[in-house]
Amino acid sequence: MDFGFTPEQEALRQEVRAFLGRDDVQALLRETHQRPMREEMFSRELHRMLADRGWLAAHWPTEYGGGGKTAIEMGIIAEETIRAGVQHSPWALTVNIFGNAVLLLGSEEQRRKYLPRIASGEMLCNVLYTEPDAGSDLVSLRARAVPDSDDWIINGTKTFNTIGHLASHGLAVVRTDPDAAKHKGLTLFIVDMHAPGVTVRPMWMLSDERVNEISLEDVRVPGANMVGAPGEGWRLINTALAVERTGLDFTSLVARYLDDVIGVIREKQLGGDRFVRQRIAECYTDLEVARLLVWRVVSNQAHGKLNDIYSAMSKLYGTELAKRLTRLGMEIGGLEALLSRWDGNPLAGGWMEAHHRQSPGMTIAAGTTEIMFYLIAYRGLRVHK
Amino acid sequence: MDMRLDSEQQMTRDLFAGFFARECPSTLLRELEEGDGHSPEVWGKLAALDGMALSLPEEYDGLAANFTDLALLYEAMGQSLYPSPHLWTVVVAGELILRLGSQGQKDALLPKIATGEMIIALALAERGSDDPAAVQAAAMPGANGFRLSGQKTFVEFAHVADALLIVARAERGVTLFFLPADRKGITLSRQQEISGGQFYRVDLEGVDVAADEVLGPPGGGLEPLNEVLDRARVMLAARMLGGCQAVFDLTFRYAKEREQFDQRLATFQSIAFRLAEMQTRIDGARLLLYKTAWQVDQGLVIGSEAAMLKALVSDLYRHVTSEAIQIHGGFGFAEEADPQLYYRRAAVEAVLLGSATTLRDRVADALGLF
Repeated sequence: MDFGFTPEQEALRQEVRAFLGRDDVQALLRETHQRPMREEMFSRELHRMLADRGWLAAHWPTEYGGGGKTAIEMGIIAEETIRAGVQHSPWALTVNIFGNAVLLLGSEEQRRKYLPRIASGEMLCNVLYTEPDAGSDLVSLRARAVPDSDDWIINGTKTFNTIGHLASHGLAVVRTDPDAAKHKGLTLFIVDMHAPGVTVRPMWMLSDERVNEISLEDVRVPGANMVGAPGEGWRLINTALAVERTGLDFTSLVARYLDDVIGVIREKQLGGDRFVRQRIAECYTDLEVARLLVWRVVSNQAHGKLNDIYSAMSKLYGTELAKRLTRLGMEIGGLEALLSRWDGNPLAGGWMEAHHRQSPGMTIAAGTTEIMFYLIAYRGLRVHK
Repeated sequence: MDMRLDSEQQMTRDLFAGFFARECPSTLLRELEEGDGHSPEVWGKLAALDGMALSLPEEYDGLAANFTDLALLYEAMGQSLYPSPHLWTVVVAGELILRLGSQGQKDALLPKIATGEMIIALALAERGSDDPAAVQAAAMPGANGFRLSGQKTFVEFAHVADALLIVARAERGVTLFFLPADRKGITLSRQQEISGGQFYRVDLEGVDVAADEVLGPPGGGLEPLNEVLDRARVMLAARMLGGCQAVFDLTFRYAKEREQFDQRLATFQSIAFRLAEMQTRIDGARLLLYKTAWQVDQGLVIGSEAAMLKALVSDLYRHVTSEAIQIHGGFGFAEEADPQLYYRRAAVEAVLLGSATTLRDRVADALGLF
């Protein structure tokens, strides 16, 4: 067993921290955080700066524009950038979900077409999975694709989509064989988000984050955009899940939450209050555990081992902690914690209010807590066998 | 970074898990609870398997295994709830003798610890506190050294101990005394506690101790003792975690067999999800255990880390044992079933060497809240 990072990995972490601490980077972060409500927080400039350093896809092979490093180096970069307040969902969707899926499941042609442009920061991508009537029960989805000479024509509605309004491409799962068993009739396609028939409509969430409802009306997709084979969609999505679901993005946000709650404790001079000390020590302990569950997944990946049960445990633990931590922040902060960052004189930057609106989404997005329990119980423990 | 046990570690784990599963079934636990709580036979067999020698240096007949290996032994002990003076003899006294003992003390004592010939009990706690810094038992100047008086509580396995490690306050401060357990002036009385374990109240009435029975310098006991107690907290947490996994496994097996409403318990979501939650928390705590042990093996000081681990596992062990009884239903509440054995042991170990609340205060100290 080895719980340490190599000296090179430690140096990388310091390098990322030094970059994030630069005055111009800090100014960029402040500027994005202070944008008015309902204004996009994504900073293309910062995204490019990370790309220029090879930090968007450090773990991909160099032939696809990656850094040729392992999942551990990528994890270090993501952990630091997210904790520092870099908007995480564009990276998570583009690189971690879309990109990793293409790397793992795509054809050679698809890899060469998309991955270098993702790694360079030129292209943002997303996924088109969830539908209004197919959330946790994704396999019941109804969007259809029917063949038309060498192309496919897609019709359907996708929802709770993240960054669809910024992305150029999306990985869609649609039903190609309505007569097959539910999980055998699904197929993956890469959809051009600017193709005729794609309409992106905003929905605003409790967290002030924009998601989208996307309607696909007779959207023509070339056959070459199919990922894997027809009918393979469900299996492939689940294969990719074990790579993308590390819990790292969520848990890095929780590390940020903890930093901010400690900021409130200091500002209100409550460091000697035993209730506060007990609860924050408890959350800190759980954050350490959550990080270990994350790094178990990531380090296993670096050694070529995928375990979707470990992934579920990691996602579950970190996101449940997120909610407890923001409730604690609201309790400790009292009335002033209600003030948002748009108030003239908020408490500790107004982050308690923001985090408290963000955390409920974390136990829903990317697989609900209930689905994690289900996976651990039925696929891991095999309670029914 | 690689969080998987390597093949040697797996062998160590399997060796000891197999040993305790064979040698310490719950029937033995029940016999021991009726009797004097100590099985010289199992203790001897564990010694033959190098269970005591494992972590000691080679020059004292030890195997010089690392801290992580010791944690694997403790996890295995906990799985079978094996009751023994190992923690006090090897992890606490052995380490303190190694750090503070004169060459004569080391030569005389450590090889005997390694072979299991010597059992040592730690007399630290007093009514109201188990914090070494708050010790009240007095070490006054005596004829040939010191004279001890006061009362110690929760001295585990004092009744089978060859020697006592007594923490007392001398003029210069907290001092460690190492003396034969049958010294005049020492009286033991068994404490009746929830686990039916072997805890003793030790009355010290004018106990004469020679100057060369002091371990380390007079007044110099506090810091090394606290450091060694942190190591002991890691091992205790390992033992508790072994218990968590074992009582979970027991409950899981039962829930897969037991049928109500024509359905196996484990397949009700209300049960399945709780099983999932428990296994997740146990997995996470185990990673924290291994990380902390690894930190010791890297030569890092573990202060708040040990406190954090023990606090986490204390809460977890109580939770898992309580859930185990609930999921077993009425049968789980019965004395003849095993969950209650774990439940009662959890109650003891959760507060032994510091309650979760006490330990979390130390974690908070390390967080920079001011």
